[in-house]
Amino acid sequence: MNPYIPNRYRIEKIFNETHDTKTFRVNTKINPLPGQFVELSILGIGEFPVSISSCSKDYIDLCIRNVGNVTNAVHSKKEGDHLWIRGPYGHGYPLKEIEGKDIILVGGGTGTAPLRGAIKFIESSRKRYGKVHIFFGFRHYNDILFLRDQKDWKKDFNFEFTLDCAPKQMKCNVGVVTALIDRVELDSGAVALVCGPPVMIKFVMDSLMKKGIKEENVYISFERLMSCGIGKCGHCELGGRYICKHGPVFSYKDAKKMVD
Amino acid sequence: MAYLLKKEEFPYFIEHLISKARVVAPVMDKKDLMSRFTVLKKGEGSKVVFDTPLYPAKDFFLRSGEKLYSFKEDKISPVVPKSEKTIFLMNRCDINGVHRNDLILLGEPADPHYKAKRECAILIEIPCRPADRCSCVNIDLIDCHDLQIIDKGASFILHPATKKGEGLLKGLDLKETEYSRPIIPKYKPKEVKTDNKEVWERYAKECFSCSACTVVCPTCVCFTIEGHLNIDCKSGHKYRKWASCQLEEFTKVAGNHVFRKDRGARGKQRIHCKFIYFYEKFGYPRCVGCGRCNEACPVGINIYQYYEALK
Repeated sequence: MNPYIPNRYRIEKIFNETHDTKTFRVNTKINPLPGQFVELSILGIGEFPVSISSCSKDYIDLCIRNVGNVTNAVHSKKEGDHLWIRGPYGHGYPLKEIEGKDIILVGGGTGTAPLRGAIKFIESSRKRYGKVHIFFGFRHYNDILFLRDQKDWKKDFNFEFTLDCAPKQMKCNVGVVTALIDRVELDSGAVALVCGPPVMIKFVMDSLMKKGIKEENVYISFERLMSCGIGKCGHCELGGRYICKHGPVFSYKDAKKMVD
Repeated sequence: MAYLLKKEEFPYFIEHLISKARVVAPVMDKKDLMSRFTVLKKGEGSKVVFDTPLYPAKDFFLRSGEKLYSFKEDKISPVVPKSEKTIFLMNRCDINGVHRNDLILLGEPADPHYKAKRECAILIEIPCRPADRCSCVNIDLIDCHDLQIIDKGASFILHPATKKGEGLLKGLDLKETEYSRPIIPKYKPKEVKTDNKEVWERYAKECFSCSACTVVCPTCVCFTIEGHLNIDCKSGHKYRKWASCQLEEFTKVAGNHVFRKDRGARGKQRIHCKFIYFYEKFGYPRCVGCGRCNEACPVGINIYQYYEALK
């Protein structure tokens, strides 16, 4: 068995999220856990790791922003075309272990994609979890991801998003995502799932600590460019841990020691 | 059990090995007076020198540019790893380097290309001739050879440690002798309690970021998987090339964001990886004390001095 060889899967549906982001629903029975990732290939162009933003027995959703060569090639694919995928890799969110607890999910930009996987999982067994708060931050109003899900999320959860800047006529939260955390009442036993740029994580941690959330109850999803996905190539090593193999989800107790 | 080999018979012993399989050993290149790991031809048994060549033998195990699989339109065909029974004559540090690489590349799921070559390799430890650059005290160089050659003045002792090693001595008429293994002190990494800001600032000022240290390191086996598209735009292959944590590209992601932009941070990654991170994961230091990086560095950065300076 050659672990570097991907399999070919059909694109069932493409959702246009924003001007530069699409979600690809791919027919596959790899059945991953929310928080895991796959390596996606366009033969001859390249390969990159991408987190799973929703999964079921028959498909996975991959939310991809058009930022480079390979993602650009992926964006040119149409429904019915094929993608090469290997995985799933890494450890996902501990969704079984945190049953019965209040949950707060904080995400920024494309960092909201892996959290969507967790939200979809919680949605499917809503009764097993306590209060669920979802706070997302985006840059502009045209960067808001998963608009189509938000109606359902507002019904089932305390869902709010904030923008870095918004046009005057738009009524929405403006500012940093931590402002949303600061004004909500949280149980100190709550579990937090966080994914986003490093700066955001730093300030989100400050806010969560102030609310009395324990470090070991905060789970952070890291992003690096993994080349192999199986803990061999060395690219994603951070503070002695391989993001691909030991992560990408780490409890903050471990994550805070992982610095460059 | 161990066997005696007279020193003058050593070249015949090498010829005996050459008759059995491909033999790779350090040979002095007369043009530039540098020793290199070379494939020996018949009759070259006397050319072997006991040395640690500046370039390690890692490309025999993990070649840069190695094809992983090829594709044509919508079909992928795996590249079957090629391997050949090969006898390596290497220093204790280099053999330990192979052992450290095994821990990474043979761990589940094993790298099939490395595994194929590793399974065909027989490792012979040659007597060590310490150089100025090296320092392998307290670095946990364990016994992981198949056969060990020990210098005992007038003669060598051949000490087979595995079945592979015993197999090499078949067909030779050797006198048996006694041999007891020396005790090797166990490595314990030092506890780094501070962020050592001033150490890494100094590193950032000194380092050229040329990556020579990682090229010559026997345990630097990080790689990048790249794709190659043929001119027909339909076929091509995936291959791997060596990568270096000392270069900016190593942590560059789409949108040109670099996680380890600072040279000091990259130095910290290298030195922590060699002495601390690897020990935490596998129980051994990744550095095997050969000191090649110290010799290759154009500005004389010494890995041991940096490790010593950490508080």
